[in-house]
Amino acid sequence: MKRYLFLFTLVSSGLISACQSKPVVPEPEPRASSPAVRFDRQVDYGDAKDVELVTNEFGSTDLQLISEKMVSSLLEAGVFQDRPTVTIAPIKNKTSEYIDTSNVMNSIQTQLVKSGKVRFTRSIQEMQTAVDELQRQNQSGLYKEGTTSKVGQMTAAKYSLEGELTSIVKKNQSTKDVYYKFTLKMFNIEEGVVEWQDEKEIRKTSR
Amino acid sequence: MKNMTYKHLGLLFILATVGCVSEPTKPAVDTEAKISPAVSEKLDLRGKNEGIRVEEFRAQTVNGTYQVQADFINTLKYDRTVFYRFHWLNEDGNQVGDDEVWKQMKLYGQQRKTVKGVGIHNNTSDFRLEWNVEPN
Repeated sequence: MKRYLFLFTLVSSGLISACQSKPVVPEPEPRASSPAVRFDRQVDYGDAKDVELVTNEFGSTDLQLISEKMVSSLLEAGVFQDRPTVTIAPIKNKTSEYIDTSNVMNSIQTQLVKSGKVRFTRSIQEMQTAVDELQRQNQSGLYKEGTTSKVGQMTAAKYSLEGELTSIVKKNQSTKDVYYKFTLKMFNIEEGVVEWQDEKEIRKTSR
Repeated sequence: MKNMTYKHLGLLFILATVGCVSEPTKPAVDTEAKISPAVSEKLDLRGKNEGIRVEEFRAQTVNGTYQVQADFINTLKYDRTVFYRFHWLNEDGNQVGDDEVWKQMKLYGQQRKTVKGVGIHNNTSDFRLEWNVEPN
């Protein structure tokens, strides 16, 4: 009997230890790829709306997120009920990076124009081109009378959009954390009061 | 111990082997989300949900602007990264305007987060939420 008991213990312990060994891992199923920009290959045409994760400096996704948030906030605030005229001022870049902030304002302007709820007048930067064209039409003597655009007929803006971009950067040996804050204000030009204001915060951390 | 017969030994042996070959318990991944058809017909999930659920949508028009809020829930204890964007549709089901930018959102274990979208075009009356989940 003792012999059988010994044999039984030996066989069952062998079986149990075999059970406890790691199971055969099946081939992992391919997962749906994420819409993120990474270095899978050297050159690739990608979706311009993908999340750009190359570095944690200011990038295309930040620009798109900021403009989308600002446009959404402006439209849902209901400040554009009577399709008012708006002008844009340059965005102050208070970060340590070189950022073409006119791109941010252009994106905001584009989306607002496409919404059909607001009209934009020329900004200060765009005004000189208009002045030059009006002078050419009215003072050069090149054009037929009645076809020229008259001077003094421009519509002035009721509101002005003004913004600034700031950042806080923290870094240690293993981690870099960048915090961006974009603030946009809409002033009533005549009254000088803030009619609307919002912020977009972005945190990007890298190892 | 002396009373132990071959039958007893056989029974023990069978019990030990049956215990071994039984299916191991699977991790609690919430793949079969209990969501209403009204919610699921708006969702366009790419791949597995990895324990993330969109539980509810709230849509309304405020100041002539179509707005949607969606509640994401992480049903697991593990952090997840969600990529999502809204597609805005008119009453015929055609997309209005360009694609939105993809948004990346971290959902901590068992966290609930509400995301918001605004259809900026006048004729927006419906939406679809495209999303996928990446386990951290």
